[in-house]
Amino acid sequence: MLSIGVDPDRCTRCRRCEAVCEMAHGGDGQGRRSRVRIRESGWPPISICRHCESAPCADACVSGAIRPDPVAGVVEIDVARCVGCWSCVMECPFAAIAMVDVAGQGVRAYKCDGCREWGFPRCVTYCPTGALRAGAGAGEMSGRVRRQRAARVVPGRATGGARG
Amino acid sequence: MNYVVVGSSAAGLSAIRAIRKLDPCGNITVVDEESRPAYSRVILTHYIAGRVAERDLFLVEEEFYRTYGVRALLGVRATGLDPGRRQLYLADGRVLGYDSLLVATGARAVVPSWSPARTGDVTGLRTREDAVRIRNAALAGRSVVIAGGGPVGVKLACALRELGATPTLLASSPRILSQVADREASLMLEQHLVRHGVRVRCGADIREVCTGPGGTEAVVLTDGSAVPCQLLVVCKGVEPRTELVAGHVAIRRGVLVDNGMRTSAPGVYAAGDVAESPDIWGEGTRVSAIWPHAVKQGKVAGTNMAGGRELFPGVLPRNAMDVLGVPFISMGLLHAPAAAGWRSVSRRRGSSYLRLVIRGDSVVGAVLVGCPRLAGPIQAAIRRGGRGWEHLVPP
Repeated sequence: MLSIGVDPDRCTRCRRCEAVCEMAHGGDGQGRRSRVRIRESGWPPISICRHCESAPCADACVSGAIRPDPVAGVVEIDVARCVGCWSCVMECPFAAIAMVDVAGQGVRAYKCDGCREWGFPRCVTYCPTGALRAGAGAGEMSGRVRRQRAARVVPGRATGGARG
Repeated sequence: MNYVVVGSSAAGLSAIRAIRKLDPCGNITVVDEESRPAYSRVILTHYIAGRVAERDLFLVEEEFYRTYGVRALLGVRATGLDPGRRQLYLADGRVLGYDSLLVATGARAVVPSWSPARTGDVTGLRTREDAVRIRNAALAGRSVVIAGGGPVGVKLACALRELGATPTLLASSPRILSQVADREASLMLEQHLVRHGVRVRCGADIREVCTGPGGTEAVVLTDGSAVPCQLLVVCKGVEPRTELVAGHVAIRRGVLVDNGMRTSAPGVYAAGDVAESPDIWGEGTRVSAIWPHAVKQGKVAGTNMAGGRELFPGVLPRNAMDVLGVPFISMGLLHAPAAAGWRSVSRRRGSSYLRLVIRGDSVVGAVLVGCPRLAGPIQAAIRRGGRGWEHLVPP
């Protein structure tokens, strides 16, 4: 899976990550709907999804909205299936999942989607100090590795070359 | 290897995935008495509120069983077991041999003694049919009374309110959510419900259900008062469905298992709402009928059945819900007894309330109303042994 690392000691609170995150997802760059969150005080100083290999949020999701996508290497939320039950928020040790109000329908979970449309997390690209990192092999996980992982997790999804 | 899984819900499905991960060739058979693929019981209240389409209740489609190479016997009940011969008996006369068997039969709704036979006017909330009946009654403007002030009752009251109905919630305890919240949180949430149009009666039990020519008309409470009621929904909790293995394995409230999800009979595993397993502190065993445990226990059972090694870290009771816009989460031990070494730390700011229960230096439980963000980190701290929580709750 895409592995994202954070190093709060390097963070200068410049909040560039929040701005690019929001702009990468069609927002206005003010950071209000950013999926990465920087805090001046309170804990944790940096909130962002780590795309866990064995994701507790996905195991706790009662509506099947949160699923790991082993091919893309990210943990995804299907907002249309989310019922806003807070179970994922209760499970995430990184406090990386927030809820957003949907007019007239209560809340829905949202979090980092790994910037799959961009191929690499924009916040990591723009972080000037290395406080946000994408771990070894993360962003550039090869097609071969993805297929191997997919074959292990989803039988019948192998397209060849799977080992072990 | 022959694997048989009884029950195709959260725990059963999670076990199937785990087995297939380790054993691509073994024969897996799943038996479930419901004739359609598994659906999520936990989101039935959201279905009633109209947040979820009926087709989105289903956890998997029939294609799942094909993809995972599973023989699915749906609509068939398992009736008996011979652990000596390692055989499972089905209601249609078939006999399935197994090398390892997973009992994931789940739980059923408790039916209280005053409850008349289930008719169209008295129901539980456990199946899709129950949910459809409740939703239709509410949409038709019938008065709904919910007996039970626990998580399911409260979630149902919220769902009906969202639909525009004004349900009455009866809790036999002096406060709602008495098993999953501390006093302060219960009172805050009760006030919130009442402010938003839910009628709440605490310390109220039903003595009698009054039926007229047109069906149920009212319920009479133990204090003698009557509440108009055209549909009564009984939400008095669930009990493990252990009858399949009764007499063959050790049972307390649920089927007793170790951290590998093994029962006392060789080759027989149990997971999910039916299982009673050690808690995370190793101080006792608990049945905890919550979704994350079912998924995790199913995975552990499946892994061990297929020859792998995985241990369930233990039961950590917890609940999360949205009470008409107010997030409420609780976990672990909710009360600090008046004994040396126990204390609690609480903080109330306006409509948000946080309380941690501390034993020695370790956090062992938490209640959060209106401030859910720290729930995950607190849970992580509890799982790490409870130390290092101070930075989570600044003074």
